[in-house]
Amino acid sequence: MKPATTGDHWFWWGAGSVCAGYVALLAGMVLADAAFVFQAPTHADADARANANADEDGVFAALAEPSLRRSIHLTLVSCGITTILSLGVAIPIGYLLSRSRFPGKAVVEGVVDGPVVLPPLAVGLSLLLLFQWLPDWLSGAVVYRAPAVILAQFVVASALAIRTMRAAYDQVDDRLERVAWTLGASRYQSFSRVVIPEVRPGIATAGAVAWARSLGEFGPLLVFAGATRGKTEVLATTVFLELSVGRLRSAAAISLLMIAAAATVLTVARRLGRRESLGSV
Amino acid sequence: MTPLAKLAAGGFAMLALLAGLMPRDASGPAGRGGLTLYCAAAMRGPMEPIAAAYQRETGVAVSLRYGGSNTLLSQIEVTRRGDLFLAADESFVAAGRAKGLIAGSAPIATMRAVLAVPAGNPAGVRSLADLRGIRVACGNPDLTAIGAATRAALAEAGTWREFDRLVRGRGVYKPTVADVANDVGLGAVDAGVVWDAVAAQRPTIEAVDEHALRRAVARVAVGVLACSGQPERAERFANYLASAPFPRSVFAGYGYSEITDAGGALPAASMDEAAPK
Repeated sequence: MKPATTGDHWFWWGAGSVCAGYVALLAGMVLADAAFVFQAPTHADADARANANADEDGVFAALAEPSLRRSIHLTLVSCGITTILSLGVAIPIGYLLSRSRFPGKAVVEGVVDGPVVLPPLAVGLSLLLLFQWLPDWLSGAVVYRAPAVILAQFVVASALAIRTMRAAYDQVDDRLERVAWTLGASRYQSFSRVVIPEVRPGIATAGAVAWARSLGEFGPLLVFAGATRGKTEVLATTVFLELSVGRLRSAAAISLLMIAAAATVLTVARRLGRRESLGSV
Repeated sequence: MTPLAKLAAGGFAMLALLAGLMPRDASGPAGRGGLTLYCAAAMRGPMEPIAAAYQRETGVAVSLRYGGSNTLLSQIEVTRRGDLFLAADESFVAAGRAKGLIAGSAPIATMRAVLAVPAGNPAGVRSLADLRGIRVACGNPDLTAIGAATRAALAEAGTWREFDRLVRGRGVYKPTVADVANDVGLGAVDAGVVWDAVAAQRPTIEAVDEHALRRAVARVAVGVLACSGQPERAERFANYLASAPFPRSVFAGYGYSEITDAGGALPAASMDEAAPK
């Protein structure tokens, strides 16, 4: 590495201050949420408590509601299933896009990125329209029910997982595979024994990204799965439902909960990825 | 086992485990004698206790599917499922009727536009004239009933152009009345125009009665969907909502006013009794 010169200091200072500003923006948002949730009740709140229908008071009452516990339950299960399904498609598709050239590849790449680019409501509407074409028993079992939650999450989360896996495969030196082939391994053998151990950190990252994305999924879900308490309500829906009746503090409290969950999962995945990659050296 | 096989086996095992942990529908069996009602999210407060009471009284479960009134209409149009539609105001019910999605409808309660300010009224707003120089939010007049009603009432009073300039200047047009109320409650704006019932439900905002807005009214209405497979049962619930004592007391508790035939309410051109027998 080149020894640092005065010019380099300026460079790092510049990059560092951009980074500090960006982190301050995001941290500020979280802090504002937290301050809003934990602030002492104002006069207005105290007056309101005297009012018959003002249950705004209860951030913690809201958190104790059984519908919220159900919402957390469905969120955890649906995000878990979505993550595994996303990895199930991202591991082969990412490899295909990374290692092979075929006619129409550019089109496939565009299609695969589609769900990330499309407006969320358009994704939901398209899913809803698609299921009108499918047989009644199938759409009856999916639309407006819990499977619709998973499908809505999957459509967007898998697109991100595919991108992540593709980048992971791109970073694996294909000489390793070539060596395996010269030793007589088939494409399947080299993939399952050589490539997969190499991309384990990538799989952890792709899974974490898919999980975090499905946690935040809302637009397509609202349209395709609807928002029925105790049936298709996940945490993102709960935030929407609380906001639309003006319970801002419990909406902010649930948002904080989601931020904490996503941050934990992403951090753990990063740790896991790093340990794996050190282990494989 | 190869690493890939291990990964796949682990994935399937996790999937099976999670599928087993999947929560079961607790919302009642819509379709097996239950009713599905598309409910404007802003109406959640009164509708939850009413649906619960109706199930206790009659044994008919009413499953509430929430969303913005527009989103709900789109869902009804695409899926042609469900039994009832309760919109935040009757303009959406009228739109549904125009599309042939709603067979019959009944008004439930009325709301009137008021000026909303943060609790304690820090900017000292007493009337429209006090809005000069402060930040004002209003529902978009082309998207929301509150915006349209405000425009109509202020145009009649001759103050709409100035109000519009104020909102476009330092203020903001929002897509729903709930957004306006949230902005006022948070202090993101100094004043806004909301329905009196919306203001009454939020401890963080205070209503200021403005004479020029007295004519800006809207009604909450419920519609029976044309696609309902059980129109009589749906109609019975619509009538219960519109006229039974318990729902009326709940709506009153949430700050809605009862339907009166005397002035105030919009012309009833698009409204009638629920679907013919």
